[in-house]
Amino acid sequence: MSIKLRELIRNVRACKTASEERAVIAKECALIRTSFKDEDNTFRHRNVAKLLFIHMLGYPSHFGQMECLKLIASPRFLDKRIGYLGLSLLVEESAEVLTLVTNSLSLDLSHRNPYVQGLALAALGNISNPEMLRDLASVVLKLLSNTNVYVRKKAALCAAQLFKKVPDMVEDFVPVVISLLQDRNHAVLLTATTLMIDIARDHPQFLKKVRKAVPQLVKILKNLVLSGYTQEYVVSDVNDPFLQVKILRLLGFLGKGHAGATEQMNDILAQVASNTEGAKNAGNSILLECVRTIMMIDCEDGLRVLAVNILGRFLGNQVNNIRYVALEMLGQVVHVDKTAVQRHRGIIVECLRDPDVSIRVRAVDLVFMLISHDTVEPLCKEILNYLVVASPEQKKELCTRLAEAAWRFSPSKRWHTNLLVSMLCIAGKNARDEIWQTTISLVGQPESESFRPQIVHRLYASLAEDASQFGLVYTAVWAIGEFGNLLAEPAPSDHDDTSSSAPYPPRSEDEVLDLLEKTRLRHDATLTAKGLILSAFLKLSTRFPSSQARLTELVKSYEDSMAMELQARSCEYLQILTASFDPTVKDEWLAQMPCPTDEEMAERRVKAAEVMSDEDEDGLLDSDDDDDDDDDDDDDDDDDDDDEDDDDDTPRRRKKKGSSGASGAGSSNLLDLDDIFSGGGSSQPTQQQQQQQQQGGGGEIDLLADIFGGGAPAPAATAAPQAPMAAAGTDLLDVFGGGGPAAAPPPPPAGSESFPTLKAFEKNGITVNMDFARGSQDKQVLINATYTNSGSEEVTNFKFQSAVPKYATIKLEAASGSSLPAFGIGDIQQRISVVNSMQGTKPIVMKIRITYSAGGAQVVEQATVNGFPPQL
Amino acid sequence: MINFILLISRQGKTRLKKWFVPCPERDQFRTIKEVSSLILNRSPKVCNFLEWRDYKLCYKRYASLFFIACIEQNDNELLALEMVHHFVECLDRYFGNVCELDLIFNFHKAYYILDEILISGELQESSKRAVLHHISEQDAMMQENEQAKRKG
Repeated sequence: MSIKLRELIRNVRACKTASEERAVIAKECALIRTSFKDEDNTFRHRNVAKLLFIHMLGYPSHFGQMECLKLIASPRFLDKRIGYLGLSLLVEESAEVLTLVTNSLSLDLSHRNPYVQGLALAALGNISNPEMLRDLASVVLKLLSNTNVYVRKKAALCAAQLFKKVPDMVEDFVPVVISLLQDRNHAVLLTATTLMIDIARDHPQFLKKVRKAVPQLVKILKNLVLSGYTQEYVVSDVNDPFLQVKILRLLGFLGKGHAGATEQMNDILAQVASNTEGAKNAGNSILLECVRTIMMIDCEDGLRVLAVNILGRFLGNQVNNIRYVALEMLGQVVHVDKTAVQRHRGIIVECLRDPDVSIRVRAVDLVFMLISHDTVEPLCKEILNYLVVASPEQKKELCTRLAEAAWRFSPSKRWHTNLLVSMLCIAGKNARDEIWQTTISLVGQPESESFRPQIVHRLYASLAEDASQFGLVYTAVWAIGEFGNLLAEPAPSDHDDTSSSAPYPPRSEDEVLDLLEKTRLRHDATLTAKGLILSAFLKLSTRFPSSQARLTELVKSYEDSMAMELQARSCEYLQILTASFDPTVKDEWLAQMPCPTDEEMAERRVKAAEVMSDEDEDGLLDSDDDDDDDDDDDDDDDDDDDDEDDDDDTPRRRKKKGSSGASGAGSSNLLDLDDIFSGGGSSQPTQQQQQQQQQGGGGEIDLLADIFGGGAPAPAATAAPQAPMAAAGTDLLDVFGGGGPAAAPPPPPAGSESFPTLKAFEKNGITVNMDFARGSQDKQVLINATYTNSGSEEVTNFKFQSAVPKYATIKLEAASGSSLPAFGIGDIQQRISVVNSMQGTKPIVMKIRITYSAGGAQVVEQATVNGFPPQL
Repeated sequence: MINFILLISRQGKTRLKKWFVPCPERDQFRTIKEVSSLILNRSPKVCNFLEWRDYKLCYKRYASLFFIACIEQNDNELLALEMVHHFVECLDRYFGNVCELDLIFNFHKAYYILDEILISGELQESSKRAVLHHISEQDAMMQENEQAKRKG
């Protein structure tokens, strides 16, 4: 016996454990299934309702789909309601079941009861596939002019779905939609404006028509803003905020880029902006939309100032939501008017410290957009502060962005380097490689000599303090290795207030070596770090003259390292360190490294940005920077010897990503060739057809499509997809061989030319062979086509038609006959003359169409012929 | 436009879900899990908006239920909150001081009300009175059907 829905829900809620619940559900499902099978009409709606509940809990319920259809087909409203609900919940849009509903839907759409029509429209609007919409489009269009408001508004939103899924039907709806604006009912106005927004945004070809409605829209908005409240539509002291926002949105789309429309709406926008109360959420939503519209259209400055003021007010608001949307909108304003936003810089920076994470994220974005030459120093400092509290995923991105901003706007090298070092101190673990590589370059550059001692000291101090930030470790170790001699002298501290104001003390050689040793022995020292330290030891042998013995010992201790590379290197270095090694050579090898200049670095950044798409493939270091057990990483072995070959780092990394780079470069090369070929008369249609025929095969297919794209008259569909790649290869080669004017070998003299016979077409025994010869006219080719029939049936009414691309012209002479006896006994000859205006550059391509009767049946064949000799 | 609406309890149980864009069931359940874990773990003091994938999530907590609406990037978030509030007020007027239990036992009625407010992710009726009027008319028709069924 079937139980009521209420009972089922109560039973399920009473279950104490998940398995109990599963048992109850299973039992009920079984009962429902049997009842469905028994075709029980009376309780079907109740069973489907129970099934929907079961579905919401997450259990499978697909067996109910057909039942929903039966319910929809029932004449009772009760059944229909549940049926449609079931349809929207249980059936997915891609299911075939959906098409079965189309019939019921069309019946319900024309039902005399408006509520039934409403049910059908809602179902159609929420879940439907393009075929259904296309079938029912005309009915929906009719319902848009229905007398009942209820039906009209639902039909309008159903049309919105139609616009999305079946864009070519929009044209029929446009006039009706605009006339809907004359309606008095708010709901109809609401839905009509929604429709118009869709049209304005997605179908700009109708924009002109829709723009005519701007005065009407302005009038409606004015009524809403200025007239008194109607109790029905008021929300927190605002008259129908939903309609107001929608109209404002539509005005934005209509006014964009159109001076006339913009002028019509200037007044009302100013009115809305000044009159609307910003105390409650409803009012604020209207103000927000107003600001958005003002930013979209090209209005006078006064309005824009008004908008930015509103945003400024929002920023000071206590409510988090308001501040969030203000920051977001300011992000858009910044592109238009940077100075206005700079005024609020203080508050924005405050937001960086907000406890709410969403606000912080928005504020960071905005701060980055505000960075300019004047503001770079304080803003970068703020971002550094933020970096301290950012989450690890964010840190990586932030470091890159900060480095980029610093690179573009830095006032001095010293400041730049200091900033990068600070960044590494905070987030060296998470920063990308370019950061510390850039830092190294900056430290090593000849221009940095003035502040180099300070930097090296600072790096030393930071390393002593905290060696867990890998980026910092690498930089510091490298700097110590290269410039260890500078550590012997004291240095004044930076003007930066991050470090103490006391000057850096001089470090003795032993101190330095102790620190390096300690860093090396840390449990989380990466192989890269160890490698760098080893190389630093080597370099210090020339900088620290009194520590030779200790250095040799330190290098020796690497001899039994588990990493192959380290072991090998240590042996090599030991050789260099022996007393008998030639000191001049040693000095030369271990001298200071030349660092890339600014221009070279800029070039590298550009190249690095190109290959930046494979983000996590760090190339040099293993990508698991966040893992601390890097000792297992064998990948690092060949990355160890970095310091000696710093200049090679980026190229090597680029080489590693060379495959992607090369393919990128390769395709661009091919595209270059493509340009040569499409630089002919038929470039326009070929491009269109290229798009049609594009199969994502990259540059080669483009070329191919281009060659075939010349088959203008016939439909493009049959062309390129069928072409075998082999033909493409030979075509390419042919083109290379016979093609380009400069590159090609001089064409053989005309008289001695002979061309192979081309078998243009062969099917069902019908063969078309073509012989070529140069014509007397310029660029003319004479083709002698021979048709034979090797089948068993005689062929009559044989007709041959052909077409060539736009850059050639064709003339067919009369054929010698129109019937082909079977078994190849006879043949038909036909002379064809083709003038190829792009002779030498583009070969001829021909589309042929053959019609004949054979065995009482009419046969039509179409094909593309593309084996023409390239010189013709 | 609103892509989907979710009502989840504080324990993470789905009380109502409606998608306005095509979405296979598997993806729906996955999305629900993701979104509910994101939102249920948020502190009450933070703002009601969240960036998620390519969309924005606007949510509001009413008693023990979270109402979540997922909107497009360039939509007005404050208005989305207003729409959710509109829905809640309609529910409130219909059920008379609605609580979560009402929505559990009468989920189908909640869906009917939602259908009167939103179609295809857009608002269709901004007057609560009109919404309730239509709902009550349809309920009356259901009653007639029930009575006719019992008689015949």
